Amino acid sequence: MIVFYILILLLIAALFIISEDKIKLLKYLGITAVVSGILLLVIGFILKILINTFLGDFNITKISSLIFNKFLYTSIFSLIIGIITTTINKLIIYSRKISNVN
Amino acid sequence: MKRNTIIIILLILLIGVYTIASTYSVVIDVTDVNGIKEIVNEINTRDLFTDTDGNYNDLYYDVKNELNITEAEANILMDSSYINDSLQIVLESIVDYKANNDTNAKLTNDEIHTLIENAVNNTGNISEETKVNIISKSLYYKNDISDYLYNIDINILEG
Repeated sequence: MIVFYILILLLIAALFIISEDKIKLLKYLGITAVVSGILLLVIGFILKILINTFLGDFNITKISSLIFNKFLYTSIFSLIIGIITTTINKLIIYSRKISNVN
Repeated sequence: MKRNTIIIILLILLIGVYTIASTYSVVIDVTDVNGIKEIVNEINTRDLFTDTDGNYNDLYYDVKNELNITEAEANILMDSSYINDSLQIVLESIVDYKANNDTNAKLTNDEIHTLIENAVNNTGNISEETKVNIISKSLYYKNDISDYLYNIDINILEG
């Protein structure tokens, strides 16, 4: 798990170095969180269908729903992070525009 | 290579790693001992005898024929709180034995038989003849039940 954290930090650092406008990093993180959130929902849904298909001899809908809900909560968390960072990015750009006009 | 191309490649990589990390954390959470216990708590007797669509499965008909009981009696047994409580004790024991490597958690053949006997005796609305029949079948199969239960594969992922 630590390997994933280090990889994420390295990629964020690389994006920070490469992007000219550092505020854009927030936009990139927002896009990452939103797309990952949607992907997690899709993965959870596919997993639910697979579990029901392969273990269909027993009634395990409650179990597959429980597993899907865990993906759902992680996805919602990711989507909220994405929306917050994107909103902050937009707010900074908006405040910059206003200060330029004045 | 243009700056924008590098940014797009890094973004795709970041999305991939972030998604894999999140999926992995969910998998660890589900396969953790407490995650397995959470799943086990969801299982009741009826779930084991019905399929995903709620229809009776092959196991239901095998058990019904073996015990020679009516559908009404089978329903009473499946909905019995005593039998469901006993099922939870057995499932908890399997998790502790297999996932926690707790050898003391393993129920003996006699303990499993006693659980079945008590649960059936406490269940109301079924004939004495049926109760005696179920208990005698439990006694007959108790060695097979124990072997089957404790040979169920449980795999735990390490985080």
